Amino acid sequence: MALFLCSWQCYTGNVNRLALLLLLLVGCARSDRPDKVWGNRGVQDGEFVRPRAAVIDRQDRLWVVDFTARVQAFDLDGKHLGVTFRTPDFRNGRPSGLGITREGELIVCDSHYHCLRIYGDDGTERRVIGGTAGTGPGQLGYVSDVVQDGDGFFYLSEFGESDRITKLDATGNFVATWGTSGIAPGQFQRLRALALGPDGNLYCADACNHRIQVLTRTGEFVREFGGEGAEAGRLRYPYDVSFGPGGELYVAEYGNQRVQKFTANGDSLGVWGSPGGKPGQLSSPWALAVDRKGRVHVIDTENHRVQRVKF
Amino acid sequence: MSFLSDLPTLSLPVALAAGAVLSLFGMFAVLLVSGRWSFRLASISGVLLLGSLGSLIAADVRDSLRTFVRSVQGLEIVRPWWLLLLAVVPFIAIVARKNLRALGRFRKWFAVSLRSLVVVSLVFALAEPRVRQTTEHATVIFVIDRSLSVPPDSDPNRRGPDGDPIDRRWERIKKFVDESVRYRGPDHRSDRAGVILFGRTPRLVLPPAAVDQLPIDERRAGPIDVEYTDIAAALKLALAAFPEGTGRRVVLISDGNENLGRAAEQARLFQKQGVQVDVLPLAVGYRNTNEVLVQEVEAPPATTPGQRLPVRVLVRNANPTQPVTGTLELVQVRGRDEPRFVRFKGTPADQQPGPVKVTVRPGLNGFEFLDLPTDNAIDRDSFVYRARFTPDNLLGDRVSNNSATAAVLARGQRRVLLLEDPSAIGSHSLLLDTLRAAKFRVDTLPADGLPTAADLGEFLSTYDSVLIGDVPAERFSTPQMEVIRRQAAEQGMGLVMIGGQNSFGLGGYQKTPIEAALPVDCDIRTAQAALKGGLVLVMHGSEMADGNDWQKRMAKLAIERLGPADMIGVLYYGANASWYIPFQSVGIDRSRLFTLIDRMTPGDMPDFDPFLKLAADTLADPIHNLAVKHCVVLSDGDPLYGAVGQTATGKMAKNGITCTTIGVATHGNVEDTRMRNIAGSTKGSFYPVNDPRQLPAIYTRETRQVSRSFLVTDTFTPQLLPGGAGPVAELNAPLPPLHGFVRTTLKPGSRPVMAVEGPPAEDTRFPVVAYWQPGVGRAIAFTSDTREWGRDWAKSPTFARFWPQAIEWSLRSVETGRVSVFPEVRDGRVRMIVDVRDDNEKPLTGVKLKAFVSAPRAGEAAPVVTLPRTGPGRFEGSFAATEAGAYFVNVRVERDGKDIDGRRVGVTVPYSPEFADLEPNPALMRHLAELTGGEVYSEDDAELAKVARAGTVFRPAPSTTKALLPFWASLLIVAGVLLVCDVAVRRIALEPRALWAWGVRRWHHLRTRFDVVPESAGLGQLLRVKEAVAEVIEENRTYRRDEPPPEDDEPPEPPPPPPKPPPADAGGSPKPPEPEAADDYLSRLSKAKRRGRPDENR
Repeated sequence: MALFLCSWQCYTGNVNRLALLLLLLVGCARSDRPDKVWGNRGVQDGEFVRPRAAVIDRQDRLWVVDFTARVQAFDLDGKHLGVTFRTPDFRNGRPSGLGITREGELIVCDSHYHCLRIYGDDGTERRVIGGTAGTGPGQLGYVSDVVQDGDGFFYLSEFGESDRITKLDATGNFVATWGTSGIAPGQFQRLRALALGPDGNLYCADACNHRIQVLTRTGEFVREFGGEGAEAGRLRYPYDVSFGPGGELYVAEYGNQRVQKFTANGDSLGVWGSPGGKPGQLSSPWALAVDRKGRVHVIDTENHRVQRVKF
Repeated sequence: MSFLSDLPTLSLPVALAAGAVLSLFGMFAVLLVSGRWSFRLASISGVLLLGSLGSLIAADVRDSLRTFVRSVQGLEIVRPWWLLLLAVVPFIAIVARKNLRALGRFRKWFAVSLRSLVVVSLVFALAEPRVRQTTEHATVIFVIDRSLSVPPDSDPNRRGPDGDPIDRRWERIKKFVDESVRYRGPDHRSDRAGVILFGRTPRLVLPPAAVDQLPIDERRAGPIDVEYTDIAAALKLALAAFPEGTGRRVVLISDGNENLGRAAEQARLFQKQGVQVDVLPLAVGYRNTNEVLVQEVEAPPATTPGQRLPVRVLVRNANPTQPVTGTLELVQVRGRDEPRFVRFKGTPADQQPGPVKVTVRPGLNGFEFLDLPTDNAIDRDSFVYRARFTPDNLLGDRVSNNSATAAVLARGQRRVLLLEDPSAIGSHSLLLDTLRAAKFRVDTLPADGLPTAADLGEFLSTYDSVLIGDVPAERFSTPQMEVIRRQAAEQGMGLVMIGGQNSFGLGGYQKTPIEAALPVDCDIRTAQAALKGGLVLVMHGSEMADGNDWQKRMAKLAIERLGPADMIGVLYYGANASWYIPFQSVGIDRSRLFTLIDRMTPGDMPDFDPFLKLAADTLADPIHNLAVKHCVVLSDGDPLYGAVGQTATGKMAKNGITCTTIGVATHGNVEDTRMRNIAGSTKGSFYPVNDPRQLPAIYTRETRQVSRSFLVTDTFTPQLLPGGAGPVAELNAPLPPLHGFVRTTLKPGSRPVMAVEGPPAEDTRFPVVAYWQPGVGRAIAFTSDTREWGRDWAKSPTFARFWPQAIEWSLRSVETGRVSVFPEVRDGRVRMIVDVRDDNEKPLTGVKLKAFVSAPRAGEAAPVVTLPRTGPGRFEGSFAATEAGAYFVNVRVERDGKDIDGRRVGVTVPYSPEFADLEPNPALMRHLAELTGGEVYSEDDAELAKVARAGTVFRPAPSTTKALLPFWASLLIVAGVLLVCDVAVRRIALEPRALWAWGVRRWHHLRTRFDVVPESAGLGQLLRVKEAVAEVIEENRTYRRDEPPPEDDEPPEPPPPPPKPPPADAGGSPKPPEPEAADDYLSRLSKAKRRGRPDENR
């Protein structure tokens, strides 16, 4: 009878619970399985169409923006928190980066509108920084990511017409800019993301040069690591970087379809993920966010979902 | 664990369960450390644990049991006679009972039961049981009409982002849908909701899902043709979109004005399937009184040169009392010429014709115009009358129905149209001179000078044959090609394609409508070629709507346009920069490549560089021996074009490789510049594309330049094949040599005729002249040219003999003028009355009539209407005409299977019926609800809010059924598992009593291992053994009490003494009873031991 009920469950849709229960019972869960996989393709709240950037705020909310320009708030288990909003216009292109201000507000990098939009908890826009396209000082290209340091300075990574970093003060006034297109140290090809390291330096995902560049907050080159390849320590199109609570650097590799963990000095501490659509597999991951428990929330873009893993 | 995370994290049952588990763990730890144990605390914890877990899973268990019971109730047996085999079960039980006696009572019955269950499962599997599951969950699909007949309820004080006033009706609908979902109640959280928006075709905007809210974003719907309403199609899509196993309901929100399909028929299907249609009739009571529409332009359907044409424009004013003033104009439109105003009757003769001020009284008004003939030769062409009324400040009037057209076909001298490539005007001068010398009236036109598809039908109906002289396919839009095909196949027009470097396969005509009308296919079936080209396609995941689909279509189009010997490779971003389709010959069978293309999923390419490098390295490789080397990059321009890419394009330029870039939905100037730079550095072209419909022409052009394997530039003597008639009737062998031609393949079947043949390749034959009748008309393919390749023909008499004969053969059939057609448009149908007379104006007898109809919309199936005889020389027929635009009707008269006469007329449906409806049709909506047992809601804010908050639309659906699920496979699995258990029970002898005793010993060991050893070690040991044995005896006694008395003749054992309780512990266990005073201790122990081992005694 039990078996009959079990097989019946398969028909009534509870097969997942049963399978998980069985996995738990027989203890055959694989070690590289993520501890949470959530989200699916769709345009309802809680669903994604190619999510492309994420950030975790101080209240442990995971904000995710997708290719429909929807910014949604989730708890760290993937429960939608009832906040979904869009940027005012997205006909030119959708936002591709998210950040958090010193005060804990959400920053949306409205890439194709050359500005930062700062939002309140409920998704109401509070202020806009930038908005003038161009390559001159104070003008912005496509903004891919932003971080704000303890002194209030914003650091914006740009791509498109110019591959560079622009530094603005807390009110959005231009301070400095550095970087050009190229392959030499201090030059960039498709700067996709920034992270502020525990050492106070900027860690830059130089995507098409397949490397991470470390720069001081005044733009001096410190070191680089990575280089194109699939081996541990090598990178292929690093699209996002984020530091864990222990000072380790996590890199989302769009090309290698994995997440790699580094020391701040660039020594590889391991990789997680492989190409595919099963749990533990990734398809063109664009972004990641690390929570205070060191769990990495990987934005599994082409699988339209988020995977949470600790490794 | 997802199911654990579903649990409420702080609920009381979870807390209690966690506490109980912790308590038990703690006690166990204490037991391990000290041997202490509290039975009472353990019992309390156990009860708490069981209770809390039970409350947690109670709902799931209840649901599962309900589902199970419901399923069992709906169980169906497909082959019930197999159940007769159940009769063997008692025999199995009897036989097994005897054979398994050695196993003992418990195992024996257990094994018998298992074996019986195995047999029962197998029998049921053979009987093919199926479950028909009923469910309480409902799926509601909101089907919302977005067509133009739904009047907006504009709020003049509020404007949307596009500056238009907010439509309160649309806001109301969205709110109703969203609130219905939000407030559907806790019992309906698993109910699903979806949205379909529709006009002409429905779109499933939000597929059914269990969501908490349902905001509708129209931008996600994509384009909806709002000029028609097809409620039936929308309902049909809804029916298909319902998930399995839920109750089904549609909420139809519409004004009820349908002009395509029949919703009532669809509703009957709903009724049969138990699907309710709730309706929300929109704008009930609304009547657009401020509406003026041009109802019809009345003009003779055909004319002859010099005829004065009376034209009447009928204008309807919907307002019952107020006249409307405005401007009325009637123009005559011919092809791409400037429209010419037609004179209003009553306009003074000294005034130029033009727009006139008129007053339109309530009801129908007729305004008469008179079109005077001119001496201009163009007066012999077919044309269109277009009337337009512009009211003076009439709020609420719909502009779309303020104009109407009527087509007039001209009949006169027979004419030929020569289409040339705009870049090679005059290249067919010799042919032109020859035809004109043969008294043909030939007009020449650059191909891009053709009217658009909407007006092309009228334009071509003026001509009796059209010659396409070396014009590449991309010069025509697909709808234009379709009109040309229809004119040839359905309206009897001649079609002649003359070869050259831009014709047939070299011109990219593969799989086009024009190819369909030709006697040859433009593809060839041989891989032998003197020249070959190489093409690399670089695809980038596009953000354009349906971008991936367009990329696949374009890749297939490119492969179709290449010859078998040409080479193709496809690159796109997957995980790495590598070939998706490695560079290879296209081959004769393209299906393998098409299958690969269907599976391709181009990713978002970060940089162009590695792809440009691969393309450059491959195309430059001399091993391929390519005559033309080309690369086409399709992208939004976002990927990086860095140093490596620039080196690659440099290499392309050095090696004669061109790289064309197509920018689709780019983000702006930066991306356009990047793609322009790539193209510019390789002498390729850059195409910025905003409308994907531009892509086929671009790909055709870019690909056909590569398709060199169709081309033959050798000198050869064409072979005149015997039996040729029609266009080659005047030709004599031997024919002069030709110096090139385009390889094509004669269409299969008996109708296409190869009259002149070129040099074959192996056993593949190629026509130089082929002809056939693609329908009513006639078509010729001449695959060489009339210039360079045909220079020897031009010098010989063959040229002057062949071409006039060929063109004469291709002309339309004769129309004697003795067939009269009177068409009338009414209620979405065109009704035709046809009069057929003989030379003496007497009714013609013994004839059959057929009408070939060309609809205005490309892709619509062209009906062939049979016209039955209704009187002497009179025939009548009709066809549905739901599309706005010009219909061409070619009535053919046959006698004894031979075409003897005919008449062509044009009939115009002035505008979509969508604009004819002035008021909603709530009666239809109510009818749909009545048919299906649905509710009727009223479009009132308060009423709708009430309905939404009451959860009415999510009320339980009528009992619905799930598709029958076969269940035999599961039964087989169950039988297999039971069989294993059966074997295990027989083979593995587990003694429950021994197990119990072992457990008791282990427990006792845990409890007593820390006890202090008594002074008399021997006595203490003896006491423990005694207690253990007493427990065993008690267990044995209990066990026996539970069992029926044994069948053996052995006398029953006396009841054992009551068990000895365990020693007292910290938890306050009951004290052991006083030892019995009678027998001495050792003898009682010995007896107890003997009683505790009954098997040994036996």
